[in-house]
Formats: sequence, structure tokens, C-alpha cells
Amino acid sequence: MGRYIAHRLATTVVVLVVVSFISFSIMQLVPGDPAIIMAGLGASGDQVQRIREQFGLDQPFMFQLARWYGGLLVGDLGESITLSRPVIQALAERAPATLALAGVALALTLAIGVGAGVIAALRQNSWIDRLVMAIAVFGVSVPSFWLGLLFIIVFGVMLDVLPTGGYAPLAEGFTAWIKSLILPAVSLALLQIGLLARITRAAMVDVLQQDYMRTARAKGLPDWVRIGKHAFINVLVPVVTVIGIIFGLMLSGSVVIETVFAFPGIGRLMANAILTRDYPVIQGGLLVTAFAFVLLNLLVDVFYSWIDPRIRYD
Amino acid sequence: MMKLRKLLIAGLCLSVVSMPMLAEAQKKGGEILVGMYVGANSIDPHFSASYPTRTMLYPLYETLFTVGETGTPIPMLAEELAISADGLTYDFKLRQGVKFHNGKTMTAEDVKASLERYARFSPDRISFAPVTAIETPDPYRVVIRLKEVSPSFLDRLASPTSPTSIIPSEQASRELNKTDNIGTGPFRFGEWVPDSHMTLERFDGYSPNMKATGPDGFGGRKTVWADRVRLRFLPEASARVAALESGQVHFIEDVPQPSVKRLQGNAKIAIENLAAFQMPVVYLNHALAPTNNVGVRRAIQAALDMDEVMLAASGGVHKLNHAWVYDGNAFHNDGGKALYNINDAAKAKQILKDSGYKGEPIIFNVASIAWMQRVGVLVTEQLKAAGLNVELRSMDWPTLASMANGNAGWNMATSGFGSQPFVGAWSYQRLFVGEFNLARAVDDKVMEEAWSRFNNSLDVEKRKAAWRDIQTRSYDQVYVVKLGDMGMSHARSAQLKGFRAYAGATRLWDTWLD
Repeated sequence: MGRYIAHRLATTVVVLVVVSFISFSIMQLVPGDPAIIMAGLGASGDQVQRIREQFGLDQPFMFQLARWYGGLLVGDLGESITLSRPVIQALAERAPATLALAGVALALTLAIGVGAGVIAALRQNSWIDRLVMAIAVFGVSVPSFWLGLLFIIVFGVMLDVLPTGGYAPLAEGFTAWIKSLILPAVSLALLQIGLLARITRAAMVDVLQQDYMRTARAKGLPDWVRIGKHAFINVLVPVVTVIGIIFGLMLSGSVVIETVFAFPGIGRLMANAILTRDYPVIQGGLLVTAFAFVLLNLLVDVFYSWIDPRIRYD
Repeated sequence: MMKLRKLLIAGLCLSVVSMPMLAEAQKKGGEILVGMYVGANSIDPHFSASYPTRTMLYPLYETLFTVGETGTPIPMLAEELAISADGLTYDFKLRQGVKFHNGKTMTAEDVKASLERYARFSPDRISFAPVTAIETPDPYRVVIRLKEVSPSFLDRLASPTSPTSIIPSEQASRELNKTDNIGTGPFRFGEWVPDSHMTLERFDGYSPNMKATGPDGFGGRKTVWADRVRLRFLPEASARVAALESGQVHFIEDVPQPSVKRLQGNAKIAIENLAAFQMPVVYLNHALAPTNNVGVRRAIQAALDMDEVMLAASGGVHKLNHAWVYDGNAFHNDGGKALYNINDAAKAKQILKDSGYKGEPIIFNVASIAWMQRVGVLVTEQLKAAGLNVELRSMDWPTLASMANGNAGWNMATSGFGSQPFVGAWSYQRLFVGEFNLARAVDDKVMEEAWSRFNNSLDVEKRKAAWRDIQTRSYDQVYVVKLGDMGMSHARSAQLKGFRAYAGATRLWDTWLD
């Protein structure tokens, strides 16, 4: 296992090198010059050129690329053009809100998605099954920004029980923190809950039809042992695979929710960076997101062997 | 120094617009919660200031001169200004006893150090290009010497587009975004969390301008009633409205017009319309066919129905105005008025026919900003009805701005002038003349000569005449098609009193919670 993890980490480095090269190259190809955006309409060539020189944007592509990789070697993601601060600092400032949002959304997804999927499978073709699947389809289909706004109107304005937006750090107290997370986390989670419920149901239905499950029943094992131990542990493999992807998507795909709920997270940082062509932030943000994806998938792979001892990587 | 013209400033401050609040009793205390439509990337005292950034900066910082309600320069930290007859020396007498947030008393050394920092970091530092020396003959006098006449120097010094904020001298050596946010403003800095919020606290050591009778633009006599202000950055319009309706904020900026109609039925909420927030425009490329043909450009100008276009842009909060500055500005004039909002498709067709236009495609770049998209579609249809072969291309703002910086790939492009019509005529120079003018016009001697007169005369009336010629020429040659003056609707809780909408920023002084 140790060798496997080491190998995967080495592969991760290659993936990150490729990701950073692609993100760096794409941003050079996208039209739009940050120096022109900063200088404003009608700015003279001198003004634009001065800004380009200030941020090294006037240098040849290969030079900029080499400087970017050189910085990465010492953990330097560069300096934001529009924020006048290191990219790593800008990302670190916004990471807590995004991590909290994705974490709570994942917890909700796991609790509700897996639970609903298992219940639907155990009550296959009943009205409960159909209701759960109908809600799952709704969750998959409904646009998250629309749902977010609906939640704001219902719970923020009409019922007045939750804040309409903003992020309260843990330092302001647990109650304020969790209240600020409920609506955005549910909005972010609903799509994934629907997906996970459907996958869990399909996996559980499949497992329940296996011979060993019939044997367990014939042995007279109580339901909680049969379902909780023999069935559920086998459902976990496909579910864990999806969870890795879901969490990655939540980390990287919260732009809309962060905007609707005025969350100071990485999603908004990236969206603003794209709109101002702040190359270092875009590149740094993509790299960090890619790293999170790769790391999560590695954890998922390691987790496989824990839940299914037959899986060995050595 | 020979002083032929001495501006005794105190009298200027008497024209303030402070009457409405006299009828209501102000209350001290509480925290005003504000929902802004966007935050800022930088709150450095000497960097660029858009409308939202000004809302964040002006509570903290003040300048020697600032702008009043109509954008005219008025004194703030300066008490008197004497300009030499040759226009090369500006002698400022400072107000005494003005305290910084750190308790230090402001002196000429702080002013000098601050202006020198501005000249290092500000995107508008070109304003200080004519400055040869900043002298401090005594602790309350600052003398600025210029190498050449710069009649707009005071306008530039007072301009809020990149404020000449006065900060303690020991802070002036700090790099960009590294100061401790210490100024002389009526609020002191609390905290700023980018993309989340900023807090401001009443500065009890504030030294108001006692020569004024009330607030005036960014200047005048400012009074803070609230203990604190919390500016929350709420980019999603519906979420802003929900925050106001639920009582989670007292004030929100930029309410969409459909929500305005709904909120008008709520007795607990009042709408505050800002008559002029920005100036939507379509600028034309003189360097690329077919808009290099002045006939084609004039046909575009003649075809447009500004009533319809501005209704689409603003949803109803707008005014038709041909001028490049807002009503009330001293440089407002009638130049080009006859060519604004002609709305005559038949005339446009005739001009086109005479111009020799053969139906060549006209590329119209439209930024993916909601009002620009609406304007883009409507303008395209109106021009097609007049016989112009317009090809609409939608793109994000950075792409549009970068393309417009060159001659190729566009004939028309959408934009909006935000600060220019507010701060005044001088700010249009780089848009209308020079190598990088918006219209990519070359060798327009009439325009160049008019700007030369504008920039070299110390006589205000002559400068106004020059500006009238500039505006007239911009219409005659169709540099930029002005669509109108677009406003913005704010909304406040009935609990928030004293608020007055202002084109410069959202101001939180002289407002209070009832």
C-alpha cells in the first residue's frame, strides 16, 4: 500500500504539471488583456504597457511559463494582478468559507442521499421508492441558483428564520456559523443528493439480489445485520467512488451558490478573476482545485481497500 | 508669489443641500447595515475608485479639495486656495486641528507625503505630471508648483476617480494595499473581508468643516450618527432585495425595476432613485470600414430611438440628455443637441444612400452585462430597420475592451461612462483625443485644436467655449453615440433616515436609524 500511495503521489505531480500547463496556456489564448482592463477605456499605450511590465505580462510566453513553474517549486503561486496580494493568500482567505460550505453540503448529501437510496431500494417499487426517486429527479433537474433564491424568499423573508446571505465564521459562534451555512449548503447539496440517492438505490437493489444475501436471510439473520452489515458494506464501493467526485465538484462548482448567498469563497474569487483576466489567480485556483480532486481520488482509492479487503494495490 | 486670483472658499460651502434633514430629529447610535451590489478589490487610499470603492473609501479618507453635489471642486481639508496669475502655483492653506484616526494632528508634511505617494501609485498619476515641487513653507501651508499651465489641475486634485487621500506621513512610504487604513474621515476602519463585508466605526475625534452648514457631495460638514456601519457585498440582486425585506439590512443599492414596483407597495420600505448613475454609450470605430465612412456613422446616429433604447437599458430610471456631463455641471451646453435622438429611419436611409454604403457588415460587439445585452439587441433591430447590416457579437467585458483597444474586429461597441459625466469635461480627454481615443479617430485637427484651447486657457468662459466645440465635434463626426443618462434605484428601510442618493457613492454620514 505504501508503494502504491507513493506512486500515486508521484503521478499527482505529473497531473499537476499538465494541469498547470494547460491552464496557463488557455489563459494566454483567451482574448482579454488584464492590463487594458486595469488601465480603463481610452488608456494610452504607455499606461497599458506600464501595467504589463509591472506584472511581467510583456515577457515571452516561455519566460512567463518558466517563471510560473519556478515559483511553484518554492510554493509561490504568484501575485494577483487585481488584488495586489499573493495568490496563495487570496486563496487561503477564501478557503474556510468554501470548505465549510462543501463540507456541510457533503454531510447533508451523505446523510440524505445514501439514506434515501437505501430506503428506496428496500421498498423497491413501492410508493416510497417512487416518491424518493421523484424527489431525486427534482433535485437533479432544478437549477441551484433558482432553488437558492426560493430558499432565501421562503426561509429568509417569509419565515425569517435564517439569514438571506453572508458567511459567519466559526469565531462568531457555532449557531451563527451553521445558520449561515444551511441554505447555501442545501442548495448546493440537492443536485448531488439526487444523484447519490439514485446510485445508492441501484447498488443496493443489485446487492439485495445476490446469493449471499439470500443465504443471510435463510440463516435467519436479523434485518439490521443483513442490511447494515452484509448489504451496506458492499454498496459502499460505488458510493464512495461517487462521493470523491461529488466533493470535488462541490469544492470547485460552488460559484453560483457563493454568488447568490454572498459567500466569500474560492468560487467567487475565481469568477471575479476570470472577469478581470487575473491570470495568476485563475492559474493558482485551477491548480489548487486540481490538487484537491487528485488527492480526494487517492483517498477514495485507499478507502476501497479498507472497505473491501479483496482490493489490493501492491 | 503674486496672487491675482484668490479663492476665498468658505462662501462656496454655504450652498449645501442640507435642508431635508432639518425637518427630522437625528438619533445617535446603532449599526447601519448596507447591502452593496459589489465590493472592491483594493481599498488603498490612492488606487482607483469605482462607485462601490468610493462608498468604502470616502468614509475613511478626505482630500484637500473634493467634489460637491454636482461634481464641482469644493474645499475639504484645505481652507483657502490661492492660484498664481500664471496658473503655475497652487497655494493651499490647511484647516487646523484636523485629527487622523490614530490621534495625530494633520500637517503640511502629511499632505506632501500623501500627494507624493499618490504620484507613485495612482492610475491617474498622470495628473501630477506637471508638478515640479510640493513645498511646505509652514505646518499649515502646502504649495504645489507646476511646470506648465494645467487648468484642470484642481479638478484632477478633487477627482474621486482615484482620490488624493491624505494619510499620515509615516504611512505614506507603505506599498500599495499595505497602509493601515488611517485617514481623517468621519469613520474609522473596522475590518474588511473581501467578497464578504467591511465595517466602519464612528470616529469621535472627527474634525468637521465648520464653515459649511451641511454635507455637500463628498465634502461639506459631515456628521456621523450611527455607531457603526456594516457594508455587506451582496452581488445577487434578488438576495439583496430579500435581505432588505427581511430586515437583515437597512439599505440596498441597485434594485432591479421589477422589484422596485413590488417594494413600492411595502410601507416599511422607501425607494431612493439616483437620477444619473452612468451614461450608456455605443462607440464607433473610425478606423475600420464601413464605419470609417462618416455617412454610415451619421446614419447610425439618425436611426436610433433613445426613448426605447434607454427604457430597455434602465427599466425606467433614466433621462434623455445629449450632453457629456450631467445636468447642473458648469460645463453643460447645447453642443450637438440637434443630432441627439433623431429617431428618423427614413432620414437614416437617405444618409446611407448618399454615403455609398453597400450593405457591408457592421460588427457590433456587445458585452455580456445585462443592460448592454438589452441595448445591443434593440439597437441592432433599429439599425437593421434603417437598412444597416448589423452583426451583433456577444462577449465578456474583458474581451470587448481588449478588442476595442485595436482597430480590427469591431465597428460598434457598447460601454458606459461612469465617473466621466460626474467629474466633468476634463476627464474625457483621453476618450476623445490622442492615439488611443475610443473612436480610433486620427488627424482630427478640429478636435485637437479644441482640446488645446481647453487645456491652455485659464479663463473659465473660454474653456467652456472650447468644451462646447469638443462636444459639437464629437456629435458631428459621431465619435460616440450617447444613449442617455441612466439612473439606479436604491431602497431603504423606513427606519433609516436622512439618506440622499448621490452620483458619487452611497454616503453613510448624515443618515441615522430611527
